[in-house]
Amino acid sequence: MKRFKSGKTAPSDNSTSLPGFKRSPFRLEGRKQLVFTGLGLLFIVVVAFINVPYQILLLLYSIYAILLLMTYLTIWMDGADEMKEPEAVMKKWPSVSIVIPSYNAGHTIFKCLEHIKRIRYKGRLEVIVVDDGSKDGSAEVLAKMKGIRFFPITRNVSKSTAVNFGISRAKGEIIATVDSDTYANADVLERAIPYFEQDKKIGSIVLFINAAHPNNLLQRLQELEYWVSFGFYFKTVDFVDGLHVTPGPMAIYRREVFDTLGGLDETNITEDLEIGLRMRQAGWRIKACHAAVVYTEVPTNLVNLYKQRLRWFRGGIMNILRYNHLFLNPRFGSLGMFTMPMVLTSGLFAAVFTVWTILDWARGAITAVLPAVSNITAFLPVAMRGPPPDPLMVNSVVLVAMIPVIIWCFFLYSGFRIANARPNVSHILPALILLFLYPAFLGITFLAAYASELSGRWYRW
Amino acid sequence: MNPFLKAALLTLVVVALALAMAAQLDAVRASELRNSIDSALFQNQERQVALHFGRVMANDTAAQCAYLTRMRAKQLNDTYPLALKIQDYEKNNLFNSEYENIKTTYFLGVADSYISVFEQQQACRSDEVPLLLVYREKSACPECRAQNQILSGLVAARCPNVRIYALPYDYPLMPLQMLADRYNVSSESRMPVTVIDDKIRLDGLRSEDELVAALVSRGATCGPKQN
Repeated sequence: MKRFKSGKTAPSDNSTSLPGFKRSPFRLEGRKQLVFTGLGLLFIVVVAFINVPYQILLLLYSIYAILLLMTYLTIWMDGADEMKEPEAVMKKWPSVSIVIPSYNAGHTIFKCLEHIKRIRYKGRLEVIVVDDGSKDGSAEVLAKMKGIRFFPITRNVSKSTAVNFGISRAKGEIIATVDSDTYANADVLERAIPYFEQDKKIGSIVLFINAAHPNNLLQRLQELEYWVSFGFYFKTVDFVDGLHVTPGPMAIYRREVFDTLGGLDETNITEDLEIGLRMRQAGWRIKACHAAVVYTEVPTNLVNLYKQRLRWFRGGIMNILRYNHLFLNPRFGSLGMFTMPMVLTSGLFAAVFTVWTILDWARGAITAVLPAVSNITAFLPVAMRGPPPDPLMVNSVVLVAMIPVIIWCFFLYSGFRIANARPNVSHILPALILLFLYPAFLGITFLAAYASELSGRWYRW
Repeated sequence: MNPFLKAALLTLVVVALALAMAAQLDAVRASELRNSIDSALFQNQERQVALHFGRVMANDTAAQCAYLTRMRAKQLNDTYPLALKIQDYEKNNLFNSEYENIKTTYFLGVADSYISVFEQQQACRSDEVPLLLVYREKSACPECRAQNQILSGLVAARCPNVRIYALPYDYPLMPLQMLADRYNVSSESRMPVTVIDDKIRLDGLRSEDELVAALVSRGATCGPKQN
């Protein structure tokens, strides 16, 4: 497998215990342009806020959201809902290598391996675990395990480096990469592999990622979110051949992809997105198999969720910019004309609208306390007094802004159907938070991602 | 049909329907405001006709003043809270084409009503004490809003013979400009400006006690503070 050389890489020393796996030095080109672009964007956003009433900004954002969601809805109604599994008859099941990178994963890797061992597969199957310099004692236990090929790296490098090392040692015609905190159903390979037989241009199969054993409210919220994003959105985009990412928890590739394009980008914080875009650029297709289900551990608290999403969004911005030649390029079909613009604009507009909303709230807060500054004695008796209740005192734009919420309820219902789950009372609160509060969290995270990216901050896992 | 084209067309239809509903809500709000303003204007008109009658046809001033006193007894609540309501409704509206007419009608009606109080004082011995709140309309004035709340929530409840009026100084109507000039209100003045019985001027946000003290000095009858 040839080594993939990206244009931008992280700063680090080049020493490693793996011969031939050197990290490239990070180059600073492009950062100045990013900073100036960021400042320019901020200027435009603030000028727009000053000159345009917030009500109109909300109206414009609502219309954009309706267009975006309506696109998903029409694709879904056009037949995405009824996509069937391939009917290809497997004359011969290809050999499969499952590569699992592990770093301080003692609390999940063994459960992961238990699930891997239960996988039913008629062809040859090998399991490769690459330890990325763990210090929790898991490497010593894994070294003694039977049924796996174990390779330790003496010093922690990166997940991608560990995966690439595993791929370089793999013998299978098909490579499945699995995160150490992901648990696959026994039939994942039986369900997914026939897709490769159906179309030789398919380079990767993405699976239906679910949240593993959601315990608290935040995890139940993510469970619903995954059903909509990895379930509904992926199925819809797959219908128009617009998939652009091979999600990290588990993805399955033809070996030929790595032989021709090189391994994962070892300096990328979202290497799963980068390899997806690289594959699409080279003409490979990515297909979704929702019958193949995997469960992955999700963040248990808001801080960890924020860190995860910040990495996803920063990686998304960086990779979209790197592959900007696919953007609005009809040569790449729905990927160029729909997926790329949708991914870029949804995050960008969410960040911009978050800025406008924060500015509007700040203006409201300042306006509310100004009378106290003028004459606090006069103001205090009426400080908490609002206008009398009036059913007509609802902003007319809310009538337009509610439409995306209504459409999204249908997406949530469809997510339940894809997951073969029945809605019950325990889903109500996470669903309400997902509909009305979670978008604010995502907007703030997008804003932080753009601020980080356009300020030229270093990447860090 | 291409699904993206279909989505664009459906979006147009859905957004058009939503905007039509928004326009309907705006129309309902405008209609409600017009009804409230009309009630106030009718009261005003009734008083004007009575005063006109007094100037032209009344033989007995005492009897005419008795009519005016009975009219005042059946008068509806003060209409100055409508000033805030107009601002709030206008802010929540998407389509505001009618609001300039509504505001013009309202402000002229209030100005007429305010001036006629003095006309009635000249014709009869009236114990009404007029209070005029002059505020800024074209840009945000949180102190003006707070003063309106103090007047409506606190002062009005304590002082039954005080008639409260609210008019902007910066709206392009000649009678408003005349009143602003009379009381020397301009963009340099500290908003809001409160004028009591055409004599006392208070600049800036004032507490309930300050206002009541000034009103009582001009003959208002005010009860104790309510909790």
